Amino acid sequence: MIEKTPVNEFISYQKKITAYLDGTMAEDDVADFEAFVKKNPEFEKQIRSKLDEYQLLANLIPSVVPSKESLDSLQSEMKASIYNLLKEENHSVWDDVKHKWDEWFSR
Amino acid sequence: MRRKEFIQLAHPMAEKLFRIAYNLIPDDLQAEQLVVDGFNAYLLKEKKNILRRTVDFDNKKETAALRRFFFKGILKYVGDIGIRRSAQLIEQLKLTIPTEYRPFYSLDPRVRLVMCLRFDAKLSVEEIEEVLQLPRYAVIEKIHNGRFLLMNDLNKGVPA
Repeated sequence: MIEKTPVNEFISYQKKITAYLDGTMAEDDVADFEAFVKKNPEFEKQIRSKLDEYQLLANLIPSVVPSKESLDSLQSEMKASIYNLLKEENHSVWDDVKHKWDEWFSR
Repeated sequence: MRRKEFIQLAHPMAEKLFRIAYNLIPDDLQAEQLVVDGFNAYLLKEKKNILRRTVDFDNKKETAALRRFFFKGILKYVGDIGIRRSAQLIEQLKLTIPTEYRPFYSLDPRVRLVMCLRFDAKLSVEEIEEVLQLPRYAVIEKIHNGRFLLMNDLNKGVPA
């Protein structure tokens, strides 16, 4: 069994930084980890360095913004799909008239 | 819920859905088509559940929660269809991939999807499990693999 010295403890928490930042750490462990960070402020540098690495990673993932034409076209298609595929239940003739009126104005 | 109300909930999702679709298939038209196909599949499958729900746009918290619920539902279909199409189309689209993103597009489509849901769409691991119907260990494995492969390529300094 590994003795729980301060150095070993530090190393053990160092290994947990990734899980903490990834959101993959179990809830019970999160409180324990955060308590350790509070007691050891120098540990925050390690977390910051990992966060920088994550920022680098996020920059490697494309975050494409659609052109205005693409976005307008997409939203139009989504609207048409909703009108074609979602049929509201009409409980009376008046409901039927009202829905057709709304639909005509919205298109 | 009325159709007009669902449109009001769905419209703001279009940009995010397009970004995720583009991360699967790096082509404007194909990404747009993927979003439309995924959206249609969701509507066909869930139309009764959608119309059964109610929304109160005055309650911002509730509206945001409902929008997130629908967003994750649509993502499931966009992801399913996108993973299959990506495998078929990626060879044809290789020339259009910007150099700086080649390492990302060389990842397996499932890994790409998990990475962009986690780091771009900022979904939690639990939400990714729900969207992709994968066990927790599988989601975590893909996050770690994706991170390792991308950082490895970055440290090599050579695009894949």
